[in-house]
Order: sequence, then C-alpha cells, then structure tokens
Amino acid sequence: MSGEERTIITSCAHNCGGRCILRVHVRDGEVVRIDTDNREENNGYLQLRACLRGRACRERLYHPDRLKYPQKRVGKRGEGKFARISWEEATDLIAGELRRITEKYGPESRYISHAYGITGVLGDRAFMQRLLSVYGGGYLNYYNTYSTACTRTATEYTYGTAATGSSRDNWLHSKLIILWGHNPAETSFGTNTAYYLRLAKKRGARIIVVDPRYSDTAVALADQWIPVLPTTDNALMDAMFYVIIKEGLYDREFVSRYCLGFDEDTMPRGFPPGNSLAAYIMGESDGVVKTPEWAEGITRVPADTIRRLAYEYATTRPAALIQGWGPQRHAYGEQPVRGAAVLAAITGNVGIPGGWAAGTGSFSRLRLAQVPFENKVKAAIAAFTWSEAIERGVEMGPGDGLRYTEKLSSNIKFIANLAGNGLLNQHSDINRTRRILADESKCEFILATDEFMTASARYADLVLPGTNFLERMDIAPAWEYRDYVVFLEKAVEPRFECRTGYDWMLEVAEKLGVRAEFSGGKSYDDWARYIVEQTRKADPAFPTFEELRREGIYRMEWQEPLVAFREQVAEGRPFPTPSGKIEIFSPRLFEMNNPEIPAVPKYIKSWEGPEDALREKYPLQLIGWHSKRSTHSVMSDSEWLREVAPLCLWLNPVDAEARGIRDGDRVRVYNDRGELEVAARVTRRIMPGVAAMPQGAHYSPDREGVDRGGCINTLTKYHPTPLAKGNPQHTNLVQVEVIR
Amino acid sequence: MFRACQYDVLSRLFSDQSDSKDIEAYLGYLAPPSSEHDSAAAAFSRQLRLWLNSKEPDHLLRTEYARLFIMPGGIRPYESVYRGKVPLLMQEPWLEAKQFYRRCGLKLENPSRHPEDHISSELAFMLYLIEMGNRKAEEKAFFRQHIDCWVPQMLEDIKKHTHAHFFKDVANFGRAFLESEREYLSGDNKDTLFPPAQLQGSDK
Repeated sequence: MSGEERTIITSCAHNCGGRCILRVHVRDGEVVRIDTDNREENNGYLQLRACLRGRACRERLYHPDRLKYPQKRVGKRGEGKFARISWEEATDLIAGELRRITEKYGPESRYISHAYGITGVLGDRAFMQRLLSVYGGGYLNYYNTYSTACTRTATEYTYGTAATGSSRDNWLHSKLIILWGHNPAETSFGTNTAYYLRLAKKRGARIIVVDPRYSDTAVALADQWIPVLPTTDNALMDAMFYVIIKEGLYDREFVSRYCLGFDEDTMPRGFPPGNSLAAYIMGESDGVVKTPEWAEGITRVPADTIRRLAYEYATTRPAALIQGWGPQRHAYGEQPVRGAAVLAAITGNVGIPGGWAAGTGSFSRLRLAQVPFENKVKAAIAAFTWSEAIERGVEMGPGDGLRYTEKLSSNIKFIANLAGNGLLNQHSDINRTRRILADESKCEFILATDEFMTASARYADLVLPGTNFLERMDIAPAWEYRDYVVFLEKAVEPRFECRTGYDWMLEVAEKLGVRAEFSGGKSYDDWARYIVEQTRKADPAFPTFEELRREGIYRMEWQEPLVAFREQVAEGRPFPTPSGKIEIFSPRLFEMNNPEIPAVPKYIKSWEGPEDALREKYPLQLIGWHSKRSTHSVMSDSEWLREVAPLCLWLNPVDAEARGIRDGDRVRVYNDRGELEVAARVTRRIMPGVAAMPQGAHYSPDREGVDRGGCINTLTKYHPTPLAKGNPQHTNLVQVEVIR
Repeated sequence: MFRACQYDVLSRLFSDQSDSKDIEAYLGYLAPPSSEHDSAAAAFSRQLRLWLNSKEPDHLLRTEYARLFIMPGGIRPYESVYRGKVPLLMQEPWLEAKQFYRRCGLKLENPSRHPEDHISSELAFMLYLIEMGNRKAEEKAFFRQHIDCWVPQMLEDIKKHTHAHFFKDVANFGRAFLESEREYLSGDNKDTLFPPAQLQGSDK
C-alpha cells in the first residue's frame, strides 16, 4: 500500500461495560487495522485492553449495509418502505414537524428516547437536549435506565446512595468473593474487572458464582458454582439470613450501630412490632420460617449448600458479595438488590477494605462537564414507561412512576431516537410496541439516527445516517468505575452523506430561527474544548485540551484505595439515608403500604416465575444474558463475532431430551406474546428448567410475525417493576419446540 | 461513441435514483446509430418507454432504488464487497481501482458520494477512457481487472432479487452490453501495460 501509516487513540463509544483503548492504524485515509493498548505497565498503570467487540470495530465501520443517505418513510409506518431524500429536505421535515407538534401539543409532548449508541459527551443526545431547550421550552424527561432501574432505586433506599462501589484493588484483600448474577468476563463491567478478580484469586480469594448459567466468568474463576432459578434469589438470601440469625453469625456491634430494623431491637420507634427483617425471616410476620429446606424447594439450591454458603460468607472476613445487574432486571428486581446489601451489612463487610457493600456498586471520582442546557419541563417518566406515555401519558400519575408533576399535558407526540435501538428491539414485548408505534395518530413523528437500518429505525418517519465513532472526535469517561477519561480521536472522514448530530442540528436550528442560541457561536470542536475547560474549572488537575488529545487518556492519581462508606464506619458519620443508618427496614417503603414493595427485603413469588401456574402451559423460564458477542444490539450481526459466539438458546440436556431437541437443531421459542426461531445449544452449563439466549439480536419478523432474528424481546413482557418502574426482562415463561 | 453512451447510462442508473426526466434523457443517449438497430440498447429503450408510461413512475423508481441499493438486504454494488477477502467496503479491490485511476492521472472528485469501486464510478471510468480515445490497452485491462470479474455476478444478484422490477430490465441490458464489450475488448490476454496491482501489508 502507498502512504504513511498513522496511529490514533480512541475507544469504542457504544454502551458496553468497558472503556478500552483502541489503537487505530490509518493508511491512505482508511482504517487498515485495529489493535489495543500496548503502553508499558508501570506505576500501577494497567493496560486498558479491548475485548473482541472493540477489535471487531473495523467490520462495523466498513459494513456495506451502513446507512448512507437520509431516508424518508413512504409506506405505512413500520412497513419498511423508504426513499432517499436530501439533507435539505430532511432538515426541513424535522423543523416543520417540530414546529407543528410543539405549537399543537406543547413541550411535554416531545421526548428523547433512552438511547446510548453514543456514550461520548458530544453525542447526538447532548445536542438534542440543548436544541429542544432553546426551541419550544424543553422536553419530557426520563429518570433511571434499562440497565440499572431497580438497583439504583433499591440501593438508594438502603444506603441513601447508589455509589456503593469501592475501587477494585480492594478485592486483593478479600478472602471470599461471591459473584451474584455477575459475569464480567463477558460484560466487562469496567475494563479489567475480570483481571482484578483473577488477581484476587491468585492472592488466595475463594470465588463463588451464583448464576443459573455456568457463565464464562464461572468457567474462568469459580471455585464453586451455585445455580439458582431466576427470580428466586431472595429465597436463597432469606435462607442465608435464617442461618446467620439462627447461628448468631451476624456482626452484632455493626448491626446495632449502623443498621435500622434488622431485628425488633433495632427498629425505629413508632412502627408496629413484627416488621423487622428477623421477624420476617423467623416467620413471625407471615408464619413461614425461611429455612434452607424451604428455600431449596423454591430455588433448587440444596439446603446444605445454602447452609454452607451462609456460614462461609458470615465467617470469612473480609468478603465481597458483588452483584451483577442481571438479577435486578426481573419482576421484583428491587428485592435482590436490597437483600444482598443487607447481607453485606449484617456480616460487617461494609466500609472495610476487602469487603463490598453490594447494591449498584459503582463510584465516580471524576466528573466530566456536559453540554449545557436548561430544560424548563420538570416532568419525568421512568425510562421504561415511554410506550405507555404514548398511549396514555395524560392519564399517568405517581403510581405509574410519573414524577415532578401531577399530570402530563400531552401524550408523547414527537420522539427523537438518536443512536439507539430501544424503540423496538430492546424494549419489552415487541409485538405490543409495534402496535403502538404503527398507529401514526398516536406518536406523530419519529426521528431516528443510526449507522444501520435497525428494527427501531424501520419504525421511524425519518432515518438519518449517523457517523461511526471512528469518523468523529469525542470525549468519554470510563464506565461505572469512573476514574479516567479517553479522548476519542477521529480516525477517518465520514463517508457518503453520514453526519454527526450537531452538524445537522445546526441546520434545523437555523430553520427554527434559534441557531445562535443553540450553537452559542461554537463549532463541534469548540464544544470539545469547552467540555475540557469546564471540567478544569472544577478539577484543576484535569489536563488541557491539547494535553488530553496528545495523551489520548487522562487517569486520576489515587492516593489510596477507595472504600465505600469508610467514613461512616470508621468515623461514625451518618449514612445518607433519612435515618442516617443502613435502612434494612425502610420507613419510606413501609409508608407505601404495598405488599409488592415490602419495607424489608423479601422473597416475592414472581409472575412468570417458577411458582406461577402458567408453568403448566409454558414450563421453561427464559433469561437473556449480555453476551460477549455484542453490546446490546450493537454488533450483534457481526460476522466476525458470530464466529466466536454464535446466537443460540441454551437448554439443559434434561429439557432438551424431553422435547427431542439435539444440539444444533433449530427450535421455536414461544409464549402468548410472540414467537422466535433460534438454534439450540444443549449444554449442562445451564440448570434444568431454565433456557437462556443472548439479548440484543436484531428483530426480523417473517410474514407470519415469527422473529427469525432471535430477538428475545419478542417474548418479554411490558410490566414495570413495582417501585423503580424498571424493566423485568428476565421474567419470561416459554415453551420450546424443535423444528423438523 | 455508442459504447460511451451506454457506459454513461448504466453509470447514471446505478449512481442515484432516476426519475422520468432522467429516463427521457437516457432514451436520447441510447438512440442507436442506424447500424445498431437490433442491439440490446434498442430493447432496453423499449422497456424504458414502458416504464415511462406506468402509473407514478417516479415513486416506483425511487422506492425500488432505495430497496435495492440503500436499504439493507439489497444489492451491495461495490467491487470491494464482491471481491474482497472479507465482504466489506474499502478493502483491497477498492485500493486497486483507486490506484488504477491514479496511474491514469485521475482522482475521484467526491469519493464520499460513492467510493472509487462503486459500480457507477467504475463504469464512469470506462466512459472516460473511451472519450479520451486511444486507450484501448487501459480499457482492456480495467474491464478485465475491475468490471468483468464481478459486475456480471452483481447483475445476476439483481435479477434474483424480489424487489427488482425496473432494475431487472437494467440488469438484462447490462449483461448483454458487457457481453458485447467482452467480445470487443478480447484478444491479447496479457495486461502488459497495466498489470494487476500487487498489494502487500493488509490485515485480515
């Protein structure tokens, strides 16, 4: 080849659990190769090496199916008929529809959907928030996310904050690590998380994995695998509490000093007796003693295994019970979060090196500035409930999760779905969503930007070709363990008519007469500089724009490991809850007086769980894990990744044989909500009674509406969780049949 | 120059969606010299007139073009996709085409519209060579190295595509035209003046 090769530093900008370094080799203006961090490891610098997704990004950049031109819907919505239009026509259409809908329905009718295909600070979302703030008075907000709705909400009710994470070097002090529904070997969950666990294991930590699947993490790290039926985590936790209470293994001093409502002695004043955790566990409140034998019947975990697990966790200190986010995406996903946090508290593993407070488990030491905007609309819906707000927004109230207003003035009429596939593919119950979106009188205008014609984009009225992250500059913080920032350098020029959001939004703003207010006189590059300058104002140690760009990465220097709640435990400072204590019993939840939202963590029999009578008809519990083959739907049709991890449904040989299914057979998976086809993988790596498939496959229905793409949301249910109004994506009963 | 006209029409047809005004223009280009009365071009012209007389031709042409060349699941009219070791854009065949243009002193003005190995760019390059005159060696080499090795397959794919109607006629014309070109440019099989590019150092 001709031309000099140059190498630039960037990072995948999609919403995966990592933020790794990509070294992109460019020759003749094109990307010829991608590798990853090769800096020398010294002074505590760990290389931020990319996983197979990051290394496959060249395939996505040069995929012939990339969207290339603006396209306007010409058939019925969702029918898939589009025609190419010019950018001039496209921006005319957006400006016209924004004006019309804003005048007719007001700002609360406008919504920017939950979409994180671009996670850099200069993503399309940032600028659309600003555009809708300067034109038309704002937009309907959402709170919480599809990833963490239950864990953030329930962790806050327990500790007063979701920032319960300690720095991962803590694990090097742990003697026991329990990974509960946690699979960082595939999800990353912070670049190098699996590596830290490996180091902890080398230092002698015993690792137990609790998961219905023998996950890649379990394969690589576990000394013991404890399979548990989905939605029954709290029965297992309840029985652990039982053993710990019965044997007197809890940390009495810690409980009496820091915890509210563990037993009747630590209950706050003014509540009727019998409402503490201990009263519930011992059956004083409901007549059911939560023994390991009781739990065995629900969870399928043998009673002796439960006893040993409880004993081991309570007597090995320090021990880290680390929760993944899978178990909280179920019908009562608030409960396992509270349950695990309480286990950590009563065993005295909170606030000490090598312990772990459980709950959400993130932290943020570094705050990156944002593109400023002022949304005059205060109203917010829970992220998961947008499709309901299209149908009956004006009827929604606090019981539906509506916040900061009594009532909405309009249903959602305008959606900007920017770099996201949550409009259809990643939202529960696709057939329901299709019906809602297809009705053009409900949501009147849907705008989508993407790199590909996703299932969601097919339901848009206008589809705009976005740029790949290799075609633009951006700045992105580390994932949940937030202590570094990566400068995403532009590697190549955009091809065809692909444009970044800010670029075309300037034209829309011009047509709406708000260009000056929108742009603040700044170019895209100026905004990048602005972000760095504003960040430096709050944190003078943050590098200048030139320094950050040159180095590609900025890492915070740490004087010592971060231990969540160290101040509370070592210095007696109050926890940030109303009572100042860890609220095992939550007075706020008690006031809600809702059996689905108990004041202490409880096992609640789940709809479409193992105890639902619907199992007669649909006997298998189906879960959809976050696989290494994609980041949600991003890259899920990558040929390169398919070679490593093909899409398939895991079934235990017991369940497969009962259905005459052999490894590799095509099967249909169905329930009353829908049907899909996928290949079966018959394996002992999944427990009997449970089926599992990677989430994120591209929905592609045939004429009969059977999804040939294998998208699990064909089968999931739209049923928000009681407190967080979160998504219950792992709560599904199905039947599986072989296709001959 | 009738060859040039036919390359021109084909290049335009693939470059962007056509409307009825474009079709009328193509009919002008394709009006055959008296000696070539029964040519594929004449047959194609008759088809074009039928399309002009159909109901809402502009809408039909627009949506068909989008379905075939813009939406996924359609035709990927890039040499790189057909001939690359991996079916992606901007792989070795693209670079070879670009280097061929460069050796002829040519650079694509706006490669972000269509890259150098898009069917329309390559056909337009043939048109250029013909118009320059006296470039038969280059014509032969480019035709063999960059057109005949993948375009016939792409035309077959179009004919098999469920959403191809108008473009079925285009494909039939294209196939017949390429056959006549193959015959016209046959003879000495060695591209001595323009040997196929030797590439090194690419990944995957």
